[in-house]
Amino acid sequence: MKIILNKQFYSIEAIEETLNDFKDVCDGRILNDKIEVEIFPKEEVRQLKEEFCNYVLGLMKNKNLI
Amino acid sequence: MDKNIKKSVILKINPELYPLDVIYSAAYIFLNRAYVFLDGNPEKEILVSLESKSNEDIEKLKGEFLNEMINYADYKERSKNTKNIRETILLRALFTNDPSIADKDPEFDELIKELEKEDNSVDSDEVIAPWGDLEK
Repeated sequence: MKIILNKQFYSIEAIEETLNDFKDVCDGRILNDKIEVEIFPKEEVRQLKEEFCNYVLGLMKNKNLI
Repeated sequence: MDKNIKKSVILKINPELYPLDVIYSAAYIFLNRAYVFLDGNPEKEILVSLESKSNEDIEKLKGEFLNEMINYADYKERSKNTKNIRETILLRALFTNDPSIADKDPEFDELIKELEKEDNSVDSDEVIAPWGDLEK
């Protein structure tokens, strides 16, 4: 599944960190500089896309954690 | 359960009224109650999509989000307005605690001189006196 995140609102660093934190749940990669993210769920997770986006926002709040 | 219950809403926000950092601050508050998605153009119109995680009334969630934005916008404005006074209080506290700090940093010394100048320019009649002193 693909998630398109607007680069004017989401930071690449936070997305990369999210992909790393979600590695047990899904694999993923950033496709291009529009920040199109493709994720491959390893198991069925409810609203994975939405959880992913929320997690990115949460990390951006805690920039020091990245 | 009624499957027709609306669970998501898209807010169109004018960035001239609510800057992006205010929108971020409001969004963070809602991360545990809703799925928040940001899109649009930060210069023209910001789109905030809210999707309730539970069966919470989406209109209520939307109203609370808008209130939260006003709250943060006000906080930001007040912080900006009181920046100088907060810096002055901090400088005073640092200087009182360790006057030698002025010797170590010439910039600090200049700031203290400015503050002293401001102190001298205050008319003593304008200073509020305690009630007891007025009676004497």
